[in-house]
Amino acid sequence: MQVRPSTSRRAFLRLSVLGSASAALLAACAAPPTPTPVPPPKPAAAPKPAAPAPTPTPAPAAKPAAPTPTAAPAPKPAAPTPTAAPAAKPATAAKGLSGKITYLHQDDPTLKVIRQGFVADFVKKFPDLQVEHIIAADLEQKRNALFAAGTPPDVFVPSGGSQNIAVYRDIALDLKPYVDRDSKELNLDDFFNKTLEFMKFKGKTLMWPNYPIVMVLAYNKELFDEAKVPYPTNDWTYEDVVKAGKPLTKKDSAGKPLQWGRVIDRAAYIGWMNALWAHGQPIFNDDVTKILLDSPKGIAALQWMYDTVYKDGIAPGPGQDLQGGFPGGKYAMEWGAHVAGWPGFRKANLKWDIVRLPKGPVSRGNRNALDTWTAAAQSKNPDAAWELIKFGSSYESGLKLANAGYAPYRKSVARDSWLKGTKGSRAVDPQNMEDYFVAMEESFHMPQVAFFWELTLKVIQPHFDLMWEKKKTPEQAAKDATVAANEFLRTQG
Amino acid sequence: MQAQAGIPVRRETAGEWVRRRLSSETVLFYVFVSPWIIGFLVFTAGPMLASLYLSLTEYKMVTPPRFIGLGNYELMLKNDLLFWKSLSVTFTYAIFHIPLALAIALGAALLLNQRLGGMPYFRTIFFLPVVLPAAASSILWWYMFNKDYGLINRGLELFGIEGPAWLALSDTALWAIIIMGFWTFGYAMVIFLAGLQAVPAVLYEAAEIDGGGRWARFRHVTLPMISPVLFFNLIMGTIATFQVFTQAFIMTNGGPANATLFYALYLYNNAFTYLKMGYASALAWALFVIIVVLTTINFTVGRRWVHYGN
Repeated sequence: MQVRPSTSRRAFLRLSVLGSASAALLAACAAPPTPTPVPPPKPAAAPKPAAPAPTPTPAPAAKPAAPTPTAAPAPKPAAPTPTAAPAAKPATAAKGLSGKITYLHQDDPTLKVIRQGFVADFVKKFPDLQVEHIIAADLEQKRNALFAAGTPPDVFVPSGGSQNIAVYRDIALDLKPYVDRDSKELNLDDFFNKTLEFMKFKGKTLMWPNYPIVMVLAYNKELFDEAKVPYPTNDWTYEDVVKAGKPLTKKDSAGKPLQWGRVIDRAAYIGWMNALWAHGQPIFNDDVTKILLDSPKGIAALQWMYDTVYKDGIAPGPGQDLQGGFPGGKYAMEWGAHVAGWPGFRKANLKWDIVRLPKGPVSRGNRNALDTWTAAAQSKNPDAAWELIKFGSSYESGLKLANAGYAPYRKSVARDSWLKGTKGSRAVDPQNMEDYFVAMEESFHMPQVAFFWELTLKVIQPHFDLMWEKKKTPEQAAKDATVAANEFLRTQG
Repeated sequence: MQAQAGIPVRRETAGEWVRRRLSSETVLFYVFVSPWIIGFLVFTAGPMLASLYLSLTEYKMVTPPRFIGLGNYELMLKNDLLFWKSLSVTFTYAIFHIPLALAIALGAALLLNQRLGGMPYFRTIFFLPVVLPAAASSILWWYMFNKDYGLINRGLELFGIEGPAWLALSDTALWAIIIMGFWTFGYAMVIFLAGLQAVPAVLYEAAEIDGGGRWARFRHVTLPMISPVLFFNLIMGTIATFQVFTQAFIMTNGGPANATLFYALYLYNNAFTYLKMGYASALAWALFVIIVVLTTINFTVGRRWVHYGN
């Protein structure tokens, strides 16, 4: 009988198990893997609003002394006015600022080109100033790493923009002294009022507008024509949406949906917050110590959303979203119609237009979320940081952005870009561009609380998920979400 | 160096001492393992200690950490329902995934251990999902689970069953991820295969002579002989299930209704979505403790059923 070296085999196996287990244990303790930022595929292929950015909630920290702006460096470009916008001027070399600043923004194909040109123009104007232009594939990770390393970017695009303004309360430079100093040069009257209003947080100006994002109702003209339904107007109410949505919803003989009247946002706060506001219900009480979702108006808002799916049948429930979405002609109306989705609508050769959101019982409940600029409070060169922001918010910079598809925040830029021509004669849809700017001025701002994203995603949304699955009534979902949210506010808020 | 009677002894010079020491096997050992030791200290042990400290702080990354003692652990155990929810989701996954995945991997290994043509190709095919990026696999499976167009529901249709909207419903989303988890059985399979091939044929012959049928041979020869391999796969599988992340992150992002909120995903959300890096560090240490406890239990119980050779 063959004698096998059983002892060494045993030892080897023991060692293997122990070694592998130890390594795995150590790995288990390490940080979780950084995921490849692959966006989850969306059930409805309609372009959704860019997901609001994560909400960091910085703890109050030692605040650097607010910088006193020095005199603005010369020369000053002529300020554009709504009535007489200046022609784009080549940047001229100027002195007055030196040193180095860092400018961080997301690696977006369109924006990247615009921003590179913008930085080149800025450097031409201030040749003694060095600008380190950081284009990050993952803006948040890069920003956090820079902050954690004690070398924050002087100027950066804060994730989530104005809707996250409270998040940046301890790390953003108060721009108010600079704005006050340069108000004439900035020509503040040229800004849409709400864009400036939303930059303020408790008396400070923590952000500066880059481009605004407001909610409108986009509609597919061909589907409306096909169903012989009149196009939406600015007088439309919630009842009109339901009335029009019914003939615009189509199913096959087996009851399988082929086309929906409207898109409904079931997955995030934007949908229900809009409905809440439209019903005249604020989300928090005045001192942000309680959630008011379970008020009669709050419940009515949820009930309305719920009914569009389960009573009126004009919007999809879970698992009923259709591939192709609004640009694919599967939805007649898109509620919100984030401006980032418009190029997709155009690419699909859709015949479409926009109107303001339909009137709810109290208002249209339109949310405004501006993409913005921010300077770091710890910036060692705040004057130069502000100068870069100011340069970026000039008429010329704004026009370049607007022509690339980003909504203007200056009236003069709007007039010379999006509002060029008249309704019906514009080169690309939507024709009714005017309504975008009306919507902007009647929009609401997000609650200015740092933990809003965490609260809505983590605490409230799961109850609404169950409502969409018909496991809870809207009233029960509202009540349960309120209890959970108030507990969160009490223990972690 | 001691002098022996009558023999003059020359004292070792410093250079000789250094050369001798440097040429010793011990020093060479440390020289050669130093890259790993330095790497371990800098990139594993250091961050671990840092995370232990950070778990005692409130740290948002963009502002300096603030020491809060055991506050994060208290919050976790007393006030954070999602901590318990994420544990429940992860344990549920583990309970179904580990035994079934081991059974599938062992079954496949037994099939691939046959002396038939083309086996290397089958082994490669079965192992392929392991080397596919998890993100790509997740997107593939997202389409597989599509209610109207997905292969899973199309398959069910053949039997007259209307499949659900797997990933959109809180009752089915976790099951979808459990099912998807079996897709990567190839890793355990190749280890089982290696174990099976190490079982001496003489044992099977002896069992056969004693009248043992197929089941008896499997039960009394194969299983005991591969028990160390089975144990290894059990340990690794247990640890892996507590680190499930990518598929939940990409396919459901923890929803609907937190039905797929795996522990690692919850930890990630706290760290990188809510920027609660201190709290996330506390969650990581809790995970470490949980895995240590489970591994210890496995090792203790394993003594009763794992047979190392003779």
